[in-house]
Amino acid sequence: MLEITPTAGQGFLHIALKGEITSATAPQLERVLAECLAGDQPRLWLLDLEALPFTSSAGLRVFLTYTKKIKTAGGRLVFCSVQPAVAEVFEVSGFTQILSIAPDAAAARHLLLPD
Amino acid sequence: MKTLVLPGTLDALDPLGEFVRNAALEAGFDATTAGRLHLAVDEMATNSVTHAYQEQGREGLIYLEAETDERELRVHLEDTGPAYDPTTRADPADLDRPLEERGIGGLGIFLARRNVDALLYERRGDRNRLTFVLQRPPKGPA
Repeated sequence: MLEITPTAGQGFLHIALKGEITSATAPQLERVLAECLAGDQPRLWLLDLEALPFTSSAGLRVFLTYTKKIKTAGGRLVFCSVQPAVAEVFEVSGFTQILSIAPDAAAARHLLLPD
Repeated sequence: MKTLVLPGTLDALDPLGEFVRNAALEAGFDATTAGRLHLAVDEMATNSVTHAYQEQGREGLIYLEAETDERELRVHLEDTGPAYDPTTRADPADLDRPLEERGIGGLGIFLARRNVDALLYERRGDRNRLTFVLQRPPKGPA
C-alpha cells in the first residue's frame, strides 16, 4: 500500500508518501511524478518520506530517475524525514551522496527557499 | 515450519512482506532485522515474478517456507521459472558514482545479499529455490 499526497502552494510541490514502496506500488509513484512534471512543471519539489518505513530497489529506481528528470528540466528535488530503514538503504546504495536530503520538512524548506 | 503459496504476480509482495516479517519477529529478531529480511525476500520475489514468469509469458506460483531452529531462521523462496542463480551475480560497480553516471538497475540482488547472513541457491526439480539465512543471536546466561 502506498498513499501519495501532493500539495502545492508553499512555493514548492510537497509530495508526502505513506506506506511501502515495492515493485507493486512504485508504478503509482512514477505515474504521479510524471503527471506533475508534465502538468504544472513545478521547479521545486519536496518528497516527504516521514511515513515511509520501507522501500525496495523499485523505489530507489524512481527516486534516481526523477532526481535526474527534474534536474534536466531545470528544477530541484529534495527529500526529507527519511526513516531509519530507508536511510540505511540510501546509505548502502550510495544514494546519500547523490540525493539532496534534509532532516525534516522545515530544513528542506530552507534548502529549497533560502532567505 | 510455516508455508505460504502466492500467485506469481506483484500483488504477492504485500502478503509476502507480512509473512516474512512475522517469521523474523516470531523467531525473536528485532523489527530492524525483520525489515532487512523483508527487503531481501521482496527483491528476489520481484525477480521471480518478472523474470521467471512475466518475461516468459508464463503464469506460476511463489512458494514460501520459514523454519527456525536454535541456531538460525531460514526462509525459502521458490518459483518454477527457468534455472537462474542470482547468487553468482557481481555487485553493481557504480555505487560511488555521481548522479549523472549512476545506472538504475542491479541494486536488488546487492541489497538482498547484504541484508542476510547467507543467500543460497539450488535447483530442485523444476524449481529455483533461494534460501535466506539469519543467524539467531546467542542466548544469554539462563
